[in-house]
Amino acid sequence: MAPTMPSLTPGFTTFQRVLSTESLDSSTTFLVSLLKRRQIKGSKRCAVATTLLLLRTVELTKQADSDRLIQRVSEVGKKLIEAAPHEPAVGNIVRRVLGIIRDEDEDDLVGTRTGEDGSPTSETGSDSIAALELAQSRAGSHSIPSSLSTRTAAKASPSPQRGTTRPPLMSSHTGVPGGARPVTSMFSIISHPTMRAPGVDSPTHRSGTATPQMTASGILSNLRPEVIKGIKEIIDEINAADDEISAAALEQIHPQETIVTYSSSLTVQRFLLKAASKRKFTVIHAEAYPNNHLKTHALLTGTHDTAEDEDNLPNDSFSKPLTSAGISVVMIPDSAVFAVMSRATKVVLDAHAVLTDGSLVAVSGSKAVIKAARFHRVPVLVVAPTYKLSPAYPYEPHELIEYGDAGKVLPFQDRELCTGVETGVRNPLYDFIEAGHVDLFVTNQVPAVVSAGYLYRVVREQYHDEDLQI
Amino acid sequence: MNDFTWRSLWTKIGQLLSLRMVKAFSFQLFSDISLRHPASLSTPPSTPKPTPDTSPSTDFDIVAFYNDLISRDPTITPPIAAIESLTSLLASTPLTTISETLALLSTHSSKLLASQRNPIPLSAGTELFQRYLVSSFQQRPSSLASSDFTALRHHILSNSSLFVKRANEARPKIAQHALPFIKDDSTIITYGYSRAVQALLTHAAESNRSFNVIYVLPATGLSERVSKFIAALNDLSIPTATISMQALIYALASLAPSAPPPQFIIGAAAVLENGSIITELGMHQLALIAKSVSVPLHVAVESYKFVRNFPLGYGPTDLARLGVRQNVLQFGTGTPNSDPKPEAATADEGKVLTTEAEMVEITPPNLISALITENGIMSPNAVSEELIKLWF
Amino acid sequence: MPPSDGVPVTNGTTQPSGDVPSKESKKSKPRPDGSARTATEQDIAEAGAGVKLTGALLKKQKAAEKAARRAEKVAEKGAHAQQQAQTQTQTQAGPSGTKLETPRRPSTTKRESDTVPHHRRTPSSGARQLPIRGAAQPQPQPQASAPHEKEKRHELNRVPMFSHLYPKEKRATLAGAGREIHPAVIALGLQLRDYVICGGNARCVATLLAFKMVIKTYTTPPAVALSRHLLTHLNHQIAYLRNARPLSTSQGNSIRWLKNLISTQPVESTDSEAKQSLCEAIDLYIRERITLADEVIAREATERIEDGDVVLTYAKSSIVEKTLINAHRQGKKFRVIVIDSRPMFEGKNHARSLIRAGLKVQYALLTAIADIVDQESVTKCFLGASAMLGNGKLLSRAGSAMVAMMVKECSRNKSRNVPVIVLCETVKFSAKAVLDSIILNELGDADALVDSAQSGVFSTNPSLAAATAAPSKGGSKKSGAKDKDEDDSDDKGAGSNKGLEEWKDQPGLFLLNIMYDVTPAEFLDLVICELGSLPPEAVPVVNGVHGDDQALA
Repeated sequence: MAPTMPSLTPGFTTFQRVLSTESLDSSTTFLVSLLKRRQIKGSKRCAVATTLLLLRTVELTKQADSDRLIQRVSEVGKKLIEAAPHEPAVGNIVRRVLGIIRDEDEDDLVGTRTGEDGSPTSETGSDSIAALELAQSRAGSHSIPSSLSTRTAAKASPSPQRGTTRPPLMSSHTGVPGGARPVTSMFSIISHPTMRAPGVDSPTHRSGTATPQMTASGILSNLRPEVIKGIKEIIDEINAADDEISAAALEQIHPQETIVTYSSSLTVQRFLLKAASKRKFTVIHAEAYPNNHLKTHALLTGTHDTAEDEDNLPNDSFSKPLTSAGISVVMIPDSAVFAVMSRATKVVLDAHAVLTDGSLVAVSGSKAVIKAARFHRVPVLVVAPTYKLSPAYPYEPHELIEYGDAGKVLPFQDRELCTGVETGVRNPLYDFIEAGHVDLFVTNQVPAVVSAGYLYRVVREQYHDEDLQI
Repeated sequence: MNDFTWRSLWTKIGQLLSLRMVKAFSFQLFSDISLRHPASLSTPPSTPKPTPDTSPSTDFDIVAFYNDLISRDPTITPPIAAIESLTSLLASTPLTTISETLALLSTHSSKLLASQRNPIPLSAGTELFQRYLVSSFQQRPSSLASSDFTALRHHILSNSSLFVKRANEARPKIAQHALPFIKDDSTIITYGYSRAVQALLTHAAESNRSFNVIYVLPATGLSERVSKFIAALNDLSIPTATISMQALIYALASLAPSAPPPQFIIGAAAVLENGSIITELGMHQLALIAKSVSVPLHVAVESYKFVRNFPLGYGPTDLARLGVRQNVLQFGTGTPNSDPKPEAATADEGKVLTTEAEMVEITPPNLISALITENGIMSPNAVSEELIKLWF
Repeated sequence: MPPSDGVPVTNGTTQPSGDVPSKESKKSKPRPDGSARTATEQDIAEAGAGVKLTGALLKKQKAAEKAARRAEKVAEKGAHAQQQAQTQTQTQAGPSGTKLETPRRPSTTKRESDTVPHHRRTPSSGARQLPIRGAAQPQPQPQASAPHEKEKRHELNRVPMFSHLYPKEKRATLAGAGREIHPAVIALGLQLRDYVICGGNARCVATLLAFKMVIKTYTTPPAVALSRHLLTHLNHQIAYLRNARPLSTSQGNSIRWLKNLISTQPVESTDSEAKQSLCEAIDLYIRERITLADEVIAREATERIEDGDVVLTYAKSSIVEKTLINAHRQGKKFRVIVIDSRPMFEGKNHARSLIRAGLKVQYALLTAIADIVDQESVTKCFLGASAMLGNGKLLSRAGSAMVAMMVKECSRNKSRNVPVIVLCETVKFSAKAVLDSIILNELGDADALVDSAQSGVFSTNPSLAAATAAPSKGGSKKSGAKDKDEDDSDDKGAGSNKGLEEWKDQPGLFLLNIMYDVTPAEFLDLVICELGSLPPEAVPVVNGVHGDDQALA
């Protein structure tokens, strides 16, 4: 388990090294311990690390049929999720990978079916399953409405379609596994679309998906490479997230605006840089003391210390300061946020995690910024790459808040205060902001700019329902 | 409408030619047509009305059957009872064609709805059933298409009972989904009578959550079924308190600051297309209070209670559109009545709701935090999406 | 030779004749800017040399005159210029060309700078380097040590949006004081400027006491009425103070009261009688409107505190502190949460005094406010004031608005209405009505925001360690501006800049240190003053009753 270069602190790079040299189990344990000890920091890194581990899991699983894969991935995923309750991105990635496996699985089976009897009508109309399982990750939308009636297996639409494994028998209604899956729609039992299935476009065709539609040849052998391909696409998507989010920048930021932003976020920085390439505006940046202010300073002056960021993913070490793009940047202490908000025209923030009802977990102090913006009627924009969109419902918001080093609040040297303060000093790292405060979310998938009311759809489309509880 | 005859015609042609592609095409074409012209297929709230003369006559008294169901089984909800009545209707009437079936359903649904003073919950059930039938006709497998109608009918009937069975399982699932909302030492505030809420709170109590319940009583006081419910909760050692509506804000201000935040959990008779809900009279005011003091309002409602009807407001016109008539304002210069019962002057088919105890109200979606259905937690603006998927 | 009264030189003021030599020397040098600075001493020495009156360049002469006056001022600083002359040769300039590296005001020296685009930027860097050398030499006024360069830099680093808040002239200095400024006032000015005396009440009392000294030592010149001349005399002092730091509302109100009092002195009373009565009046005023007022307010506010309360407060307010200690002495059982923020960290002192008095205190930073309000079931919030404005808004330390807003907006509190109570003496009431926090504000030193390496970091880099050895948080204003300057330069020397130390060199980057903010009336529940408890919107009513109904000058 020892990294080859002993001087490296455990982190993302060491994990990569371990992953390539050690067995799957030890890699899993290593990642679990990294997550537990917070040695991998940041949603992006956790997401990429999880993806890599799951990729390796898929690669190394002996029998590559869908059930086995799902089971293995769930096992590994569960361990990771338990190790990182503060990091919803881990769970999101696990769900994505599970979703990919299910999708690829169905595609293969569709191919088989049509290969076998060629009859579109005997296509597994068994759509309760299809309907249930179809929460497709990206572009696709399915002919869900026409995929009705388990018993009456006739599907209105012809071949390019997702079927399921269930044979379209009238009587042998194997029953939608209603009880097991917590998300069955009753309607689906009697062949109505579920509440979960995504978009309703034209019922007769699907927009193209990335997967091949009819592979007549060997089903099982295609599953693993396809899944691997899908997982690699996830990694690319994570890395490219910032750029794709920035693509929406020009629409959102206009000349002579005053943008208020908070804390040190590379995503927001790139977002603003993209807009800065064509527009001139002013940025007021609050520094987020005590947890992020040093990083904020570094960001503003472009002196991002690359030595510390050896763990960086590609593109992360590049951070041109906004001022070099000709933008005026005013740095203010956190106490001045309310004061300057009356002059602001927009607030752009980053989130640590976005939950399905539109509530978010963000760096501590963000709640005050958002509330101040609401008071002054300033619109709030949150950038949220897809790996941060979590399908969980925030029953207990407090659990999502992590606490950090109390020494940053009260330095330990200050004896009088330290001993005099009666209860522990709080240093929350995150704030939980309930739904309804954010005006727009900018994500890296279509549609790029989402209103809070529509967010649940975007989140839902990413994951399969049965993966909600892992 | 002519859709069905066209469809059956094409089907016959397809069969004759035994060209599967044609068949597939026909299905596709017609589903296209029907789905692209939804108005023709189903104008809310009723399904297509075939020409009256095709409706078979029957002496099945659906209204009596329905009322009987309701009185016999206290746990049954109106939509389910309506569906069961329609199923029995189908079972007991000889039918030979699809259009006959649909016509029959449609006439009798209207009859049933017309007989009830508050038809809104029923309409959800009847429309759902009719929609289901239509879609199953559309989608029936080739084997069925060529067989005679009886097999299809048999299929329909068995599906219907499955429908009802699943519907009855909705409530436990709702209780399951709602469990994480109820935290220890928290306070649940509820209003009105709802079996879903009853099941939910009972389930939470049985799962050893300790919480308090505040029951807000309407002006008409403690009704019998509510008091039974409260007694049941007390038996499970859940402390309850009853307050009248005017005491709600003060009660909220009296809660201890360190306790977990309170929440409203209520049931609904129906969910409308924009996410608003139909509840007992008084809920809208409570929802306004909840919103103004930032107390979340959760509505536990089964998914078969969704009605395809888009209200524009929450006054008498909107209720009338749904088939409910009620009037609470009676200006007069005579001696004021202590019990403001409006006179049912116009016995308009007896459809006017007269007592406040049975009156209903629309609560708009912006006051609702989340809908707890058996499929999970939904936000009110997701309702329209569900309904669209259902009906198109 | 001192220039005229403490007001810095403005364009067009005439100079005593002694300036002529330097004037002419300026004229003789076609490039008076940087090299003028370098060779100021030499220039002055040369002053007596040939006077070249090239009449053709009248404009240039005028500009040169102005430059000369300014150079003369600089020359007065004495040793510093000498040092700069030496350091300039060693240093290279780093900043971009957009900066005018001359010590002149941009408006007047634009032409010169146009003609000398390639001038060495040494003076500015010289200023930067100065504190290192400054450590070796006595620096009674660290601010003065980097006079014009820092000014220039400040001007060029003004946020356009807030440019109305920047001080127009440079801050008061010891040497810049006019001869009629009383030493007590000079001392007060410096203490105000360096935030040694900080806080509304403290400043007000100190101002009045200083003026009392002025009055005591004052003698009316012959043939002039005391009531009029004393006013003029005081105006000079006031101007000096204002130059050191903008006046607070309490200061303004007191000064207006004093002036009013002076102007109504009967003409026939003798000097000593008048002075006596004035001094007594000042004593009484301080006693009534501040000392006793505080006691009344503390008593009344204490009644609002109940057993079991969790009281939230922000930064440091003397009256809030008095109230809490008073309540504790009365035996009430409650606990206090002190919220604090950068860069002033006044809350730490507040927490310390409360702890010493035996209260149960919890301490948190402003970014944690959401969590505190959610988790700690706050029941009350007390805020101190710098002023209560005419439309019911509260002008207080930057960050108070956020605290009040979060207390009100936290969902859990909405059903209970956590009250936000402002404790404010009537001397701080103002009739001004402002819409937001930008209109009426004060800007602090932007360099205070530069957070150099945290104390306690042990580094192998000796200069960095040296920087951290000094009280380096850059936080508490009470430590004075000196440390910040040292930190600046030391860190620059260290070379591992990860922070904002070189912010001035980065074009487009501004640091803004706003001192106050305005809390809207809807976040306030109650104002307790010595006349009683009022709703916030009733403040102008009190103004009218009390007679202080003019807007703050």
